[in-house]
Amino acid sequence: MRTLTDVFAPGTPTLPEGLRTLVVSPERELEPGMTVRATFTFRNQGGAPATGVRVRFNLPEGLVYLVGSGKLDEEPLDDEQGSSPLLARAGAQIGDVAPGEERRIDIAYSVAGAIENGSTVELQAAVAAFELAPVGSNVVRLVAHSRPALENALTNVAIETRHGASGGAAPGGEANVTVRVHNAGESSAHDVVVVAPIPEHTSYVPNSARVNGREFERELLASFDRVHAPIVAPSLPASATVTLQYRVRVDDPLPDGTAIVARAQIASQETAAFVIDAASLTVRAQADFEDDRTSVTVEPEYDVTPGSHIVVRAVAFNAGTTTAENVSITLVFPDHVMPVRGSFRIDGQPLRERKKESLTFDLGAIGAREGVEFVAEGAVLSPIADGTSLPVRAKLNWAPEGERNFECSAVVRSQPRFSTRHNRIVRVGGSAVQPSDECEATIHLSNDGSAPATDARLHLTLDPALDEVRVFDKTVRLQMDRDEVDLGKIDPYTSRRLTVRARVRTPYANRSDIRLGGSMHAREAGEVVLGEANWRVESHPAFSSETSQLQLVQDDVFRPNQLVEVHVRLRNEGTDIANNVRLRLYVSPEARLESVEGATRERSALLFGEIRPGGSVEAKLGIRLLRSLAKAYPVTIESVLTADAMLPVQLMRLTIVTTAEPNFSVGTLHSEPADVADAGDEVEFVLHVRNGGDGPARRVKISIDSLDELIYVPNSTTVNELPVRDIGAQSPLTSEQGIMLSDVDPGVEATIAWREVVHNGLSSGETLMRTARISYDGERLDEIAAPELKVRCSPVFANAIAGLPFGLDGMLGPAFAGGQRALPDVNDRFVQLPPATPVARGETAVTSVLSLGSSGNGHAGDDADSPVVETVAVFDRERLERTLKFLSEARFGGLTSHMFALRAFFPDEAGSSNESALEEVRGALRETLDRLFIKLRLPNYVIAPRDLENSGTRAGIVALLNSLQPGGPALSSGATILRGACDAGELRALAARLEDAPLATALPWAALARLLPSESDAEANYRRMLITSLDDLAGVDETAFIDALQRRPYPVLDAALNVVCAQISTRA
Amino acid sequence: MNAIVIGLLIVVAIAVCVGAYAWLSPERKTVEEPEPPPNEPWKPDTAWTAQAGDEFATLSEAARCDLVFAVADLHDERADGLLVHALDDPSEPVALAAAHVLERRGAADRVRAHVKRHPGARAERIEETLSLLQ
Repeated sequence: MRTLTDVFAPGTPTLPEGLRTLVVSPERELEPGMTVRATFTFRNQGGAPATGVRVRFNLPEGLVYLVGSGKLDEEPLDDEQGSSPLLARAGAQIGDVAPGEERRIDIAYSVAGAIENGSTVELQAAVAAFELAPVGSNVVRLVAHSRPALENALTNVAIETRHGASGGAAPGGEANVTVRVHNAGESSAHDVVVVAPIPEHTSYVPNSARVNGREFERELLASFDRVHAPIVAPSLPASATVTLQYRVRVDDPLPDGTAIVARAQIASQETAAFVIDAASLTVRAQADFEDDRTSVTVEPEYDVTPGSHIVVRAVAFNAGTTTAENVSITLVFPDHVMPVRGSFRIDGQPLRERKKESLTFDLGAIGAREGVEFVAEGAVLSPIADGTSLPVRAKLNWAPEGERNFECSAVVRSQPRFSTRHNRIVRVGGSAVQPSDECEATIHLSNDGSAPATDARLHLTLDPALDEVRVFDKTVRLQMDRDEVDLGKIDPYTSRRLTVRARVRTPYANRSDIRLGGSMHAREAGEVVLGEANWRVESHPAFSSETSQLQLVQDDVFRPNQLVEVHVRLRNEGTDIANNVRLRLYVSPEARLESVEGATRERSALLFGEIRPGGSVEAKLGIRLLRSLAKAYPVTIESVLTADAMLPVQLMRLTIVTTAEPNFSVGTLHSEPADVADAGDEVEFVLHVRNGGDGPARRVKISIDSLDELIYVPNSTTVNELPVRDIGAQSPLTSEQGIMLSDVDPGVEATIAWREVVHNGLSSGETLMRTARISYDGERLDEIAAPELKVRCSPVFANAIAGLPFGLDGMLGPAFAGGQRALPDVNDRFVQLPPATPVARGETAVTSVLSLGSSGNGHAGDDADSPVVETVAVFDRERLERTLKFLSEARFGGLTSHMFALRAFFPDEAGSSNESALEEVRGALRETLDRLFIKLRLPNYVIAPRDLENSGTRAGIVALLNSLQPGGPALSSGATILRGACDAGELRALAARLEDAPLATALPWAALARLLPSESDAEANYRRMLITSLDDLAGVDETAFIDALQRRPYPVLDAALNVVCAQISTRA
Repeated sequence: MNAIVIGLLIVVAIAVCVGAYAWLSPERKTVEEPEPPPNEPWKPDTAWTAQAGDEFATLSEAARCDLVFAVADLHDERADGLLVHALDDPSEPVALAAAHVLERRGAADRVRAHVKRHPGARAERIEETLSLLQ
């Protein structure tokens, strides 16, 4: 028994048709690409269930399973690896089939793209079970219908050379003709015939025909070009291609552009003959001047001298396959080559002379394998550098569009040249020069050659007498290296004129000859001698008053009898030695020459002997000033310098400035008594003056001031003990003229004495100052002061004067006008301040705040007329301790601490009703402030507006303020009860204001502050101050309020809170 | 005799029943309370904010405090977990805020448990401050 695996095996017969329930669509024929659907239905017509049922379909050649099309009872069967289990060898397991149960299997195929026409496809299904052997369905046979398609894009003809079709074909070359026949249909084409005639202008290459690469003529039994319409393929399967290929040779010659067209016709048994598009190949034929037979040369190529001619020879040979039309050649000479007129020849024949010669020459038409020779000459111009390459370019043009460029060159041989006629040294100016004079010579250099002279160096032969040699090129000084000057390059046909300047060395012997020679050396020209220039020296000694002079060693004003040192400096500025140098001095009679150093003295003359040129001598003279000189007559020294072979030279006069003046600055003025004098005593003043200077004083005036404290004693003035007449009752010393001394010589002394009485009205202890003034020569003034003289008086009691029988008023004098102040008591060590101004008690806020005395402020209960809302906060011991500790912890500075006081002392009950509103506000207040309490523990935390209040809190506060009713809460019990009271009307007003007040401002806190306890004075005081502080801030914005909360100090308020806490803790 | 036997049998049966009841009674089972986790040194947790969202991974001290107070309005287990983790915040005010919020949410026992598990000066300060805010 065949198993399901065995059925449908290749080569096995189909199963017997047991079930005729296989339905296939289409039923009879199919075409490539068509979908074939098969439905197999079977029923368990037995009485027992069929278990392990499997169904299998065959997959005939030419059909392909359509993926996903397998279904069992309309339910898709999962494919495995792109194939349905229905096509597997074991078939698809579909489970059990109960008796009477019917199952339906669907599957679809796709017809393959290529299927031979007339071929048969057989479809069959089989079903098996554990209990049943495979049962075959009816076999459905389908016949395929298809045909070949030879006329398509892949069927074509082509003709090309080895280089492809685009390059065209050359005459005489070969081309391949390829005819491709492709079967794009679904079935084979039979007896495929190709008609491919040999293209015109070509000839068939024998035995070159190939079909799919194999020789074809052997099958034809004749030459391919002689067989018309051969069968190239007996059968051409679908999607197959047959290629017919043969070679042809292009005829030679052919005109350029000739088209070679390949044509073909195709036919088969199934396909009627049709013509395919022809292919063509264009013939390319051209003239050719590219080989070596076409050339351009220059003669000679080397050692071309400037001024000579070069010959350019051009040969144009057409090696191409067609005639070159309009052949022309264009020459391009370099700048240094000038074409020679009349030298142009074509094939030896000269061209016609033209005035405006163009360098483009028409050579006419040159046939294939023909040539033309063209000759031209050019003259090499001078100057030109040696070794210069002269490139000659030529361009050969021909039609159509052909050209070739040539380039050849000739190398120049060129030299510089320096003739003696143009290169020499010429002296400038006369031949006689003096030492230190400047000599000048001109060097002429001229390059007569055709090439530049490089590395030219000028060598100067310098005489030792020449110094400071400089070489100039025009105004530019050239750098000298020893005796040489680098001239660099001297271009051809250029001249350089150098100027040599030198200074004659000084000193230098008279009548000496000076020579300046020169030569030039260049790399190309060698050494060129330039000759020399000559001078003769004339030299003499010379002195001048500028460099030879007398000079004071110390520039000062000298006094009589002083020794003045004078330097004598002589300098020979000449160019020869000065012999027998002598300096004759003429000194004023107020002085005399006392000493000479550095020269030999001969009376009033100084002998210096020999001084070399440029040399100097020095001598030091000592001039003694005589005592008889006067200020108005300075001492002068005149001198005359003489030497051999020179004219006398008068030196500058030396003037010695002298001075002699009197001096009375040293003198004494003393009194007798010297230190203390009693009132009414006589005092004698003695003035000693002396002319301590070195000159006489013509007039000396001595005077003193008249003092009220001293009374002059008439006739008491003496000069050197000679009495002097008074002027009135006064001493002449106190007069305007004073005492006048005349012609006081140096060292002369004068003693002036006078007497005065101390005024008895002076007070004891007063000081007397006496000063004498000495003026002389009208411009000098000296003062001589006497030591201080103190007045001494004795106390005298009025009416108790001895010797007077009566009292005498008024004689007591001013000394008794005021008594001495009494000294303070030794025990009074401190100054007693005046009593402090009493300060009103109400003017110091601090004392009132800190006072625990009753103030009555803020306690609404004091106002009996207003409705009062009483508040109560009850603290047991634990709560009180916690509250106080909380308040001590919540000291964050500013008003913030007091906001926590609002939380701490917020009442438990207020008014007569509405505990819920109070509880809501308490809760919100606690939550807000607890969070703020936590946040403020963050370092440097800055309070944000949201930390203070939100709209819910605000609404709760408003509701509370509106709901508080006047009255007192029920009496509570507790350890500590804090009571407060507030005006209900004020709370309503605050509630109204809160409706419009912005959030996070001070107003709600000001309202809540009214609920603080105020029973005790401290509580009332704190409540009042906190309300005041918050009310003051009610108008500010949130920023200012937060600033007050965190930054503004409230020390008084803090102290008040401390007092409250302390008091509450005490009460507890 | 029969009556006595019957009576004895009844007594025996009652005794058996009582014994069986006593044997099978759930009260017999000893209640084993879970042992609290051992005390351990407190370690700061800076990543607890990430539980609220990646965008909250890096917040300043004040911002974490605000986050704690914002979470206070959320009543779910996730918020509770977040607040418990916030107890380990390296900032003591932030941890205090979390503890305060947990207490207000009725989860004071979790705060106490945390304080007991991580005893120390920090825990004492938090506990004392919480007591001030009662």
